[in-house]
Amino acid sequence: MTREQTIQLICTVYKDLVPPEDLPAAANETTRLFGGALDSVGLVSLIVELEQQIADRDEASITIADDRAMSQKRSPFRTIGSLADYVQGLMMEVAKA
Amino acid sequence: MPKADRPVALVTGARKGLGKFIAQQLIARGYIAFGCSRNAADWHADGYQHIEADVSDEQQVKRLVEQIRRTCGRLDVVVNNAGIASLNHFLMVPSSTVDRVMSTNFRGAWLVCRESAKTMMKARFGRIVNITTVAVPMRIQGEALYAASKSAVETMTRILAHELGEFGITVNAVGPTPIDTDLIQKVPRDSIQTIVDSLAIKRKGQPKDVMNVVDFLIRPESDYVTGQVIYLGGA
Repeated sequence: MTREQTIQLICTVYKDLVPPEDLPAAANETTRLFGGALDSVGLVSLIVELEQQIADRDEASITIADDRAMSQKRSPFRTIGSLADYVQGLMMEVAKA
Repeated sequence: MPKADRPVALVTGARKGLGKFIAQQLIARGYIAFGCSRNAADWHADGYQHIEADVSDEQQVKRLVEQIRRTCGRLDVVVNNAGIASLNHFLMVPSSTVDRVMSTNFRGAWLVCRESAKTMMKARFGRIVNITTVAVPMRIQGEALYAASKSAVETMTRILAHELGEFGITVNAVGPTPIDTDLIQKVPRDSIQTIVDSLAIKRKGQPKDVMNVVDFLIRPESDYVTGQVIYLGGA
């Protein structure tokens, strides 16, 4: 899955989870996740949905909320773009393993 | 993705003993049951699939739940039964035993709860039952490690009930008294008798006593019962 496809997937899941009245005009890689339109439960739901959709598409079993993600100075959950980068990294590690 | 037309359950530690009994009872009640243990099961049943998995291994637990989700498209009930016992004076317990018991009893239950809840939350329905022990409230000498590991499971149960409640998932625990399974095989008979003598109902437990509580907790109507630890025998 390319970075663009990952961003697209996150945007789709994001739009499904955000209540219509809170949905920004456009969801793209600069859209804020943490502290944005999603509450903490929404963010959890987004991560779980992403893990399952990636497992179904690519048969890649990744854990997005892993130790590294939780300990980074700049959280990968800031924006759709930063999450896409983090997911891409995890998928590359799985592919190499 | 296919979706099973019957409810689906996962029972850990289902190769033998209490886990095997619970899995068989769930099948009899119309569930598709998955069981797991570190080794292959020597029993079979229609509607039962056994998967070799170590619950303390994160990747194995992920694969286990993933397999259930892909096969059945749902997971309704989880019974976290896998556990190992340790009976020894506190001063005689090696640190390797501490790691082993905590890893299976607590880390294992944690991982299975976490991965199962991810599938349950999408359906906004789930029933998680964790198996604990009367050794926690009875503070039985020689069981500091085993009881501490189950204490952790009980605390996790109570907090998960709050964190998962909004997803329609209930989390409860059942604490059996000693039951004649491999788990207590190495426990001296007089120690077991001491425990039994201090119960309100002075007999050893039976698997059906545990199943009776599990039955109640997993009913759809029990959606207002969560975060509870139910000890058997009046401990």
